[in-house]
This record gives sequence, C-alpha cells and structure tokens, in this order.
Amino acid sequence: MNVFVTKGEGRGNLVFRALLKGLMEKDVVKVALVCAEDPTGNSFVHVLTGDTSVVESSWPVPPVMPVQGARVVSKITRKGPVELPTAVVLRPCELRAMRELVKLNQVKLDGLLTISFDCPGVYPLQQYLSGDRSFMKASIDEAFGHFDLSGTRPLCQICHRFTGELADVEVGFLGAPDEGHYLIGHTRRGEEALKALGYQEEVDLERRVDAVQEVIKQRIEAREGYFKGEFGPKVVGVEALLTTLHVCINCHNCMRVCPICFCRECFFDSDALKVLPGNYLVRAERKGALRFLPDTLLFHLGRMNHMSTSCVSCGTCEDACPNDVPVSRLFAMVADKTQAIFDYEPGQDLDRPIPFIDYQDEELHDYEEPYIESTTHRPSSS
Amino acid sequence: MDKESTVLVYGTNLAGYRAAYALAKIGYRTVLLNRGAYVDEYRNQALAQLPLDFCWACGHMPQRLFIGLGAMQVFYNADLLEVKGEPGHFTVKIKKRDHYINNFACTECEACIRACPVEVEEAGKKRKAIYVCPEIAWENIFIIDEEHCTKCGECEKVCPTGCLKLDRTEETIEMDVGAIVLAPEYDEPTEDDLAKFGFGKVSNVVKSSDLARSSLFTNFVRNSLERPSDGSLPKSVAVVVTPQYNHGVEYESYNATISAIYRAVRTKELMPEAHVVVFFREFRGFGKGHYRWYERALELGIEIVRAWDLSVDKGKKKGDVKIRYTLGDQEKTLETELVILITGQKPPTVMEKLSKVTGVEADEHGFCKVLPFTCGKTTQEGVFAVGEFTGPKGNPEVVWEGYGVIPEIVECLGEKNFSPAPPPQLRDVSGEEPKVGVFICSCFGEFNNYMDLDALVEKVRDLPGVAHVEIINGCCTPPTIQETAQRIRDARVNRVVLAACTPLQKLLKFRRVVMMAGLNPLLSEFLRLREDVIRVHEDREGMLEKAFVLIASGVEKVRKAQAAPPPMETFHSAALVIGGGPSGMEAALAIADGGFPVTLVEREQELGGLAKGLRKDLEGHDLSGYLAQLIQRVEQHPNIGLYKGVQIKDLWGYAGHFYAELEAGGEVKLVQAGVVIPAMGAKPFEPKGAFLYGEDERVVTQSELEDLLAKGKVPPGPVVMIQCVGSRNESHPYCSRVCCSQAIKNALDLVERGIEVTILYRDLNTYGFKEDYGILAREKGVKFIRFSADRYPQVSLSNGELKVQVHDLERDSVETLEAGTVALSVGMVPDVENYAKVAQWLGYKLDSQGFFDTETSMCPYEEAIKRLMKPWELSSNGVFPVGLVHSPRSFTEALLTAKDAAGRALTLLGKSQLPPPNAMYVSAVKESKCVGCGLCVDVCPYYAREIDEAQGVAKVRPYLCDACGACLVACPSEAAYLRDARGEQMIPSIDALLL
Amino acid sequence: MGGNGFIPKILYALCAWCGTGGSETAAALWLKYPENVRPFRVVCTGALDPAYVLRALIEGADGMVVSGCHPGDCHYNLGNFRARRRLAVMKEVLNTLGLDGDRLWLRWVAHGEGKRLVDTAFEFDAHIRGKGPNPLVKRWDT
Repeated sequence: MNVFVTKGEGRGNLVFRALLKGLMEKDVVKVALVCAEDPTGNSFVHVLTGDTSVVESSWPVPPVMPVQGARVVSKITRKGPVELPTAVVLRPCELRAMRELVKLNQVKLDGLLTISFDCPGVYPLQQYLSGDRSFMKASIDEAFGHFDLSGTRPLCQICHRFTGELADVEVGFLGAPDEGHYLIGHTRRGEEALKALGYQEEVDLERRVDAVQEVIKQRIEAREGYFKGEFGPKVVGVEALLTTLHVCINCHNCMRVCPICFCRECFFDSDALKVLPGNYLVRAERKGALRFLPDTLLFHLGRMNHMSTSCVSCGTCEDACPNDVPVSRLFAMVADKTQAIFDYEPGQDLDRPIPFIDYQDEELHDYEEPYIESTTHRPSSS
Repeated sequence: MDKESTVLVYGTNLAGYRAAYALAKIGYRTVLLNRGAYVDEYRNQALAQLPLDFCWACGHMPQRLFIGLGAMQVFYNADLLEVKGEPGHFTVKIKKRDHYINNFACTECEACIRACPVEVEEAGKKRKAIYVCPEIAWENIFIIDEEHCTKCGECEKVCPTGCLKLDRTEETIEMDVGAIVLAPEYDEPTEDDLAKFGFGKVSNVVKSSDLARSSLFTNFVRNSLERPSDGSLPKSVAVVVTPQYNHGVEYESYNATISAIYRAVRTKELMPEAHVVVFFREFRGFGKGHYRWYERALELGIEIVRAWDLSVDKGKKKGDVKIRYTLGDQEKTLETELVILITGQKPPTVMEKLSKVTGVEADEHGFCKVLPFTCGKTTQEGVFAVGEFTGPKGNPEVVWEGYGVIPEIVECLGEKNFSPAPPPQLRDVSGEEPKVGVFICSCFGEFNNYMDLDALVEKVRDLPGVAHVEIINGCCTPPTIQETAQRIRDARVNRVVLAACTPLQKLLKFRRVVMMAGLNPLLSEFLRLREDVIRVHEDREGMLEKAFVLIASGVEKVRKAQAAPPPMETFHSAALVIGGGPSGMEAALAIADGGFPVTLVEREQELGGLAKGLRKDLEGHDLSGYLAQLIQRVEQHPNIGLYKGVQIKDLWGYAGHFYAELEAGGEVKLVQAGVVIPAMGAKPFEPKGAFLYGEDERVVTQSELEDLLAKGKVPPGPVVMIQCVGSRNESHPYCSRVCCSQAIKNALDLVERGIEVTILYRDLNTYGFKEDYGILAREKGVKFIRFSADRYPQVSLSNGELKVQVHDLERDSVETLEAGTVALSVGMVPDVENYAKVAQWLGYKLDSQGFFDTETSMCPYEEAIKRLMKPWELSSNGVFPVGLVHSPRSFTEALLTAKDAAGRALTLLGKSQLPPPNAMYVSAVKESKCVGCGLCVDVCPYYAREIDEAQGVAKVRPYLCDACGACLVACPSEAAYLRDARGEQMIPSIDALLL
Repeated sequence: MGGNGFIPKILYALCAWCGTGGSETAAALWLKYPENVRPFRVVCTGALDPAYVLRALIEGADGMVVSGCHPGDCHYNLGNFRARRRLAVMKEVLNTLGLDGDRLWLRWVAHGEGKRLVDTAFEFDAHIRGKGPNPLVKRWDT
C-alpha cells in the first residue's frame, strides 16, 4: 500500500478536480465519470467526459446524491467493461453498492479507477432543491475532515462506513495534518496511478487510523442508539409500522432508485401480483376493507427479504420518496440485523458470495424449532 | 440364437436395486425377486445401518415408477428354485406368491381392513388379520397374516376395485433371462451372536439399528433413548462397536465406527448433560468428512475408549449395565445406564442355497466370492453378485457396485428390449378461455363415509373459473383411468383439478389421466383429499371447509397455468477421460467396450500413473500384471483415442456438450464429449524434513521400503514403522485408508525374513477382511504401540544410531526404540493445482479436503446413500470423478469407482436426445425480465443454468434441470420460474388457501 | 381447546418430498391433527419464495410453519440449506419490525416422520392460539 500525504492544498472539491485532471494529463485515465452542477445550478448530475476543462468545473463531491453512483457505473458497464481507462469518483456507499453489483454481474470493474474519500454526508435532496444551495455547497466543501456537519440526512449522520478504503485510490482527510489530505493507493492500479502523478513520499497512517476509529466508534454508538431509541419506537410494531407506511403512495420510486434493486422488473410489479378483480373483493371482505393501491406492506417487506442483506444504507430511496416515508432508515435498521445473521457486509469482500447463494452445513440452528417428541397426539385440553 | 436381454435380480440390497434401475435406463428389462412381501422386509445394509435416523428408502427407490413404465417386474414372496443354461441363455425357475392385494390396482381405501372380523394383538397393539405394512406411506403393502386369517372372504367382498383375491397361491414359473444378479440382503448378528454384549440378557442393551427403526416416525429424539427397563432417560450412555470384539462371528462393515461416533454425537446433542462413551479398538472412519466427525465428538466431550477387549453384564444398580474392558494391561469396569450396540454383519444365510442353485462359490469367510479385479463377476459366468452379499463394505461401495456391475452384465445380454411408450397426442389450448374442471374422487364411494362430497361439489361449483364439477369413482385403476379421461374430455374443460389421493405414489397415473384427456399436465393440479383431509381429521364441518379451501387453491393455481412441451436437447455420445492411471483406463475400457468412443488423455509419456510402482496388495492380488493388461488393452482398443504426453489446454461446456483442446507437439486438437471422467490420481504426501526423512537414508517411506524388499535388499532391522504421517492432522484432516494395509503388508514380509518390526500407530485401519492380516501380523510377532495425535514419535540420531522415542498411550509410558530402519506410512494428498484447474473448467466444487466429490456431499456420511440412489446421473453435470481424485483408496477400490462411473456414463451415452427428468416440469427464463445477475446459476445444484454472455440473460439446460425451484427463489425478479409454479399462479393460490 | 373461540388459520408449507411424505405417513397411520392447519406445497423448501410467506402472513394466516427434508437429506441436495438462510432472514425482518417472526417456524420432518409432523401441527397450533390472532390479518391498510 502506497500512502502519500499532501499538505496545505486545502480540502473539498478542488482536491478531486486536481486529482482527476492530473490523472487525465498523465494519461492514467482517458475519461472521468464525475458529478457536475447542471447549468441552472439547481442540482447535480453525473457526466462522462474526456475533457479536462469539464473536470475543472465539475463538482466531484456534491452536497447531495441525486442518483446513486453505482447505478451510473452499472448503466455504463453492464454490457461490458469500459473501453478506455476511466476514473470514477464515488462516495463510500456508492462504492460498496457498486462492488455488490460486481458480484451480481451488473458492473464490470476492468478499466475503472475508483476514487473514494472520507464522506461528510449529504443533504436531503428535497432540502437542497428548495433550500439555500450556495450555503450547502460551501458547507460541504468546508466539512471534509471535520465530520460535524449538521443538517445532513439522518442516515448519513449515523454512517460508520464513511471512508474510501475500498477504492483504488482513497482520499483521506481525517487525521491529515495542516489542512492537507492523504492519498492512499489500495490496489496495484491505485498505486500505479499515484506513482504516475509523481507522489514519492510514503507516510505512516497511525494518526489517520486513530482518527477514523474514533469516528467509527461514535457513529456505531449513534447508529445503535438511533435505531433503538429515537427511530425504532416510531416504526416498530404493527400499528407504528403501518402508520409509518400510510403515506406511501406505492410509486415504488424507492425501488427504482435503489442501486441494489437491479431487476429489470421488480417481482412486486410483476404479473405475480396482478390478480383478478374477484381476488381483491375476497381480501377486502376478510379485512373489512382493502387499501388501494394494494400490497404496500408486502412490497416493502418483500424488498427487505430480497435485498436487505445487500443494502449499503446509502439513503437514496428516502431522497426519492415523495412523501417522506423514512424508508432508508427502515431498511438500514433491518439490514443491520439481516446482515448480522451471516456476518456479511455488502460490498466489502468481492470474494464473499451473496448470502443467499452460499450456505454452511452447520449454521443458523437458532432459527430451527427444536423438536421434543410429545407422548400424546393431542395436547391435554385445559 | 439371439441372446436374452432380461436380467434377473435376486434380493433387495441397494446394489441390486440400483443395477435394476440402471439397466432399465439403458434399455433392458429386469425381474426382481423379493423374498419378502415388501421393500424392506429383509433389511439391507444401508437401512440396517441408517446413517441418519430417518428413512427415505422407498421414496428414493423409484420401484413403482419403473414398474409403471413396464421396465421392471417385481415378484414378492419369491425364490429362485433352479437355473439352467449359460450366459445369455439362462432358464430360471421361480417360485412366487403375489400379494393378496395387487398393490397397483389397490386404492388403499382400507375397506378390507374394516370388513375383517379377525382381531389380532401384536406387541401390545391391535390390528386385523389384514393390515398395512410398513406404513411409511409410499409403498404401503396390504398384508394378510396367514396365521390368523380365516379365509372368510369378507375382505374380498368389499374390495371396490377387485384387486383383492384370496385365492392367490404360490406359483412356479419359468422364464428366460440373459444374466442373473445376486443381491440378497444383510444378515444382522443374532441374539446368541451378541450374548457377549448382554444383548437379550441385559435389559438396557439395545442395537443401534433397532433404535433407528423405532424412531422412524419422529427421528432420533430424547424419547428414542428411553431405557427399555423403566422408560427413564439415561444419564450415561455407552456406544459399543461389537464386530471389533466379536471376530469370526460378525464382520465390520466400513460404516461401523463412524456410526458409533455419529450415534454418540447425536446422543450428546440431545442430552448434553449425559456422559457418553464410545468403545472400539480402532477408529476406522476413512470416508469423506469422517475424521471431522471424530474431532467433533471429542470437542463435545465424548469419551472415546480404545478397549482391547470388552464384555457386558448387569450392573450393580437395577437397570444399569456393567462394561468390563481391558485397556493396555489393565482391567477396568464402567457402569452405565444404557448401552447401544453398533453391530456388524454375518455371512449370508442364503449363500449355501444360492451356491446350490446357481453354482456360485463362497469365499473363506462364507460370503460370495467375486473374481479379482471385477465388480461382481462370480465363479459362475453370467451370474453376478453385488452388495453386502460379497463381504463387509461401506454403504458407498454397495451402491457403487450397482452401477459398477452394469458394464459386466451388458456383455452377456442381447439387444435392448425396453423403451418407454410414447406420450399421447395433446390438444393445443392456447387462445382458449381457461375453463377449470374439478374432479373429486370418491375412491369407489369410500370417501362418502367421511365427508359429504355432494356438499363439497355444491360449494366448489360457485368458485370463480370453475366450469365443471363432478364426483368420480376413481382415477388410478385401469378402467377408472380410462373413464376419468373420458369425463374430462366430455366436460370440455381445459384445466383440471383432481382431488384424490397421493401423487407421491400415483403421480404417473394422474398425469396419464390428464394426458389421455388430451391436456398437458401442466394445466392440472392434483390434490390429496385423502391424505390432507379424510384420514387426518375428524370434525366433519372442518373437513368440508378444508377440502373446499384446498380445491379453491388448486383452482386458482390452474386458472393461470400455461402449457408447454418437454424441451429436448441433444447429447454427444462420447467420453473424455483425463488421466491414464488404472481407474482412468478401467473407466475408458468399460465405456469403449460398451461401444462408445472415448478420448483418453495422459500427460505423461507412459500409462499407469501412480500405480506403476505397485506389485501386490495386502491380499496378494497381482496388481502389476493387471496394470499391464489394462495398458495393453487401452493401447489396442479401436474405440479409444489415446493421447499420451498430451496436456489439456482448455476444457469447457456442460453435460452432453463438453469440448476440450488438447495440445501436443505444438498442435492443437479439439475433441467433443458428452461426459468427462476426471482420473488424474493423487500424490503421496512428502514428509520432507520430518522424522529425519531426507536427512538420514535409513528413514524411508513404505513405498521405498517395498521397492527395497522387491529388489531383494533387506533393510537393516529392527524396523520401526510410523503411521499417519501426513494424515489425520490439521492440513489433511482425513484418513488415507491405504497406509495401514501397506504397513501390514511390509511388516509381514519383514517378519518372514526374520526382521523385528514395531508399528507405531494411532488407529489400525485394517477394515473389512483386512482385519485378518492385522491379526496375522500380531501372531507373527509384529509389535504394536499406540500413540496419540498430540504426541507423535520422535526420531533422533545418537552416535550414528537411529532412535525412536514414543509415548505408549495405553500404558502411559515413554519408550525408546532402537531402529535399523524407520518406515513412514505417508498418506495421499490431492494434486492441488491440477485439481483446481480441472475443477474450474468444469465448474465443479471440490470438497473440503481438496478432492473431487462425486455428488455434493454435505452429509456426515460419505456419499449420502440417498443421493446415490437418486436416479439422475446428471446431477453431477456429466462429470464422474474416479479413483484417487475422489478420495484415497486402494488399487482395487479405485477400480470400483471407475466401474461405477462407467455404468453411469453408459445410461446416458447412446441417447441422442434426452428429455428433462421431470418432462415438461422444468424451470424457465423470462428473458425480457432477466438481467443476467447469475444468482440462479450459482444456486442451481444441477449445473442446469448458465449466463448467455452475448445476450446477458440466463439460459436453462433443460435435461439437467430437476425442477427444484432454487432458481425461482434466488431470482429477485420474476425472470426465473418453474413452469408449474409461476408467480401468477402461486400468489392467488395462497390467497385462496386463506379463504 | 384455546380460549375465546379463536381458531387460527395456519399454513403448513411442505416440500414435495420429505414434508409431504411426512404428511402422508401421518395419513397412512390415521394420525389426526387440527383441521385449521392447511398444507401449502412447494417442490422444495428451497423453492419457498419469501413473497409467498409474506403474502400469507399479511393476507390471512395467523402463522406459517415450514417443514422439509433434514439438512443433508434434501432431495435436491442443497435446497434446505438455502431455505434455512431465507427463513432466517424472513424471521429477522419480521422481528426487527415488531411483526412477530415467531409466527413463522422452521422444523425439519422426514418422509417417515409422520408423528413428528402431527406433533408439529399440534404444537404450532397451540403456539399460535397462545399468541392470538395475527394483527396484520384484519388490517385494511396493509
């Protein structure tokens, strides 16, 4: 692992612009996939560009995440790897999702140089669109390395996988001296890229590791506290959960923007659930009435069963919800539990198969009901 | 005169069954003689030694299916009286008595049982003189107990199908067959044989096989361990492997010690507080995963006592059992509350009779003699013997022999004489509005006794989508099959719900009914009115309600059903064998002799592999002579394309369609094959640096010692042998099976020459008949010292002399031995790189020890027998690993795996088109919805799916698909589905089930 | 049995081999179990889609019990290993959201284990009666 430290170059988007520009000028990559502000200044979009001037005016780390980067990378590489070496800047959650998609055959890594970083979080999309955008842009740029940004999405504030260590090149701000940052090559490709940029000096990471660990510890505590204390009681239990989902309008936007929901057509949009009119009547009769559009709970629970083990807690679903269902927090809370069953962390280890295609002969006995033979066929009637 | 093609199988051991199924699949008819009245009346080895305490036997022995197809005939209460003629032209005289109840026409309505006036009390339970056996619901045989039956005829009067006839008498028939397979069952030791262990005398001594059987309905649970004396649960349990203490009376099948370990582990799991002890002399678990089970037992705190001798008697406290045993030089006793015996096998009681009738000879132990290097050839040409009839063995060996004997049998037979009848013409219903017909079986009026079928009809009539409802008399006897098919036609419906009884038993009949009505069976649903309602409930209202709901659910399921024909695919009838050792050559020859082209690739310039240095085995078989013969035949065989000194450059494809690129001398050649047989052999463990090997030339391996002896160079004595070098440790957690035999062989040779030999060992694995040689070695003065796994002997040099220091486990003393020579018994290890390469090409998963597994084996038992019985050869993707790539084994044992593979290959080759095992019931892909994520490919246990890289979608290889449904669950979308369980069928059918 | 007249609707998901075999063994022995336990068959427990289970628990089932071949004995080799993982996730999802994962049971039953199947039906029925109705069933707003 090659580690370099740069000092006094400042923090924020300018670091990434310089890094990308350098990589392109040194021909390490020909193309960059990066966020840029749309001309109206309302929001941000991903652009694919070979033009350094576009990179110079880009916003590699915008204050919001309108589209999950993993989806973008999947869009580009699903049918085959990129034809020219491409640098892509991804938030840690985007990177984890992208790596999860590698396992699912939806992303080809060849030719990609991934860059990630200590993510300070993002603002809720709606809030950005209707709020003080220049303030938020400035705040993000200043927030690198501080990790005390207020107003970011609730899930960002309890994110404990906020570093870019899974990328080829990690840009680290935490622990870096003198308003500088670390550049860490985690893979051979990353190391070579940094060498090509002329970085020589190697430093040890002790300071950084301590700083990162400290934040992780705080975040894990906060996360557990939040799900158990503040958030949990509001959504757990039949009454609370259904009340939470009352505002859901069944638009399925959460699924559509989810990087892990890679299906062409969701099971819950498929013919399987397109039943005949009589079926609705029978169900309505049983329940006293039937809510329309139907199958809201089934959709959410079903998705949790299908993909919570791969959920990276990126929060995109909640940004996409028009009615403020805390869907990303619901998912994250469940995902923490379902991933713990298998001690699985999505996107972490590319060689670790998705839990549902793997198994152990001896495992999960706690989920089996032990049988103790009863001596009679009928339990004594009392 | 043309040779006969039908094969007679005598007896019901699993090898016999398996051979019969294999012959049917290849295209030969078989006749099976069952001495008893049902499948398991005479216990066979696998069932007498149930590795797991639940029975799958009839479920996975598709006897009914083969009988139904006309490939197989089974005679019950049968015996073989006379055999005349020669191979290909035997005339056999058979005695048989059909069941009073023809179980193919019987609906199992039990009217006969109700009508029977004779009550019999047996083992505290009441039954009638006519009763059902064995009540595990697949092969329910109705039996009349001759002793009590008065022949009053009441049962015959009430039988609705006329399948019950009291005048069934014993018949003697003659028939012509081409070959005879002797496959009689397992003979357990009697009470007298087990007297030493207190069995029959001391009340709390039980046999493990009885325990397994008595817990069939519940599995092995705490209650299974209740003590016979007072029904209490024991606080201490001892498990004893009896054949190790009963030499000459019973023989130890290879499963015995692992069965003991397994029983102890299960006992400990159920009762963690109990003290569990296992007694045996030696642990002989050399099968896949066995050593890990042994370690698990130790982890659980199970005590393992390697007692030299042992006897069992009544204990001091009432009900307790006392075990007296010797350990080292000490006499010890243990009081325990329950003793479980793992028993062995007796020489077959039918041997003498079969000798007389067929002319086969017995061996010196009283088992049927099999010619060396064959799988089942006896001294009588054309008569074969398989399974436990020919000696003690493991369950895998028994079932392998079923296929292994196939190439040998087929040589004696004439033209194939069986092929299944073509299916009826089916009507195209596409474009028609779904019209569901519900047909409710009354089982010849029987069901009316339990519920109001007319009321049910009225309720069902109003269900949406139902166009027709009626009550039928039956749909499983020949006339009712015809009649019901006609009724379906007359009702002019295009979807069918048949509410009758068990499709587990009658699926083929039900499907035939639907097909005879011109409908694709995918458009039908079969419900169990009898098993799910009538027999399991009492409340009439509740039953009516439940029956209605089940039918409603079935109706919803078929409303959206879609028809599709069975997809067919081609199969390339040739084999590729990788490796020219004995097992590779044996497999190649058997397939080539069957008339199919074989490509055999050997990377060395010379054939023979690891076997090149072998001379004789412990039993004295001439291995080098046989090897020379194999090499000569392979080199001259017209059907074998032999490539020596050739590497495989690449290998790809799947069952039926494998392609390999061979490279030799710069040239690349492409060969095609339907099946691939990996036979790359294994490697001996290299003990570099251990025990001064490589540093002092007096420290040699057993093979090197054997070479010296063969060259007449007598090594300096005394010779000290160290066992388990590179086996049964962390990096190689398995027993290499052959090293103990090799040590004994060399030791016997050395003592003949007057050289003193001491064998330092952990467990002496002289399994089966090899035990004789172990005993012989002791008699001849070979010394044995047992050491423990954590204290291996130390070899050192002192003034130029070799010294071996060993901790004698049994006497707990440290001894220093002078040694002129030290011989290391090294194990076998997988050829890691080579295996990995081939496994990756074939998409094959290696087992945890690094070897190829023949079937995915997650069971504690090598090759869970059930999987071996499964009729589907392609579950391993047409890849049949043989010999040492599978597991360490001896020369002759390696040949058996080769023959098994060849037998399996022969059932596939020669069929240019293969339908899926479940016909039209296969999984499929909605390509427009598939994104090619590959989850379905990864979960498929049958290699039946792949990603079409060009289109980026999943594809199904239909004949590999067994329709297990793993893919549909793995697929988060609706892209993967089962043709008979599409999402749009399942969701409404669940909704209806909740009515 | 059971207070205040509550008769739960129970689905018993059975694989087509051991689970179904167990139910047929029970029938061959004329063993009785409660009428409100309704079999739902899938080819293999590994073919039991979570969507089916959720559908049942939302649309009317007070509980669902799943039985198939013992681990290692799956007719399709691996199906029950995969099923166990799926079931674990289902139960964890339900529990985390306070929807009572204990209304879903997994217990292996082999072909011959008719008594075990019947015992399971009784035991689960009593278990669900003890819990009372599944609140989701009567919710119109699911």
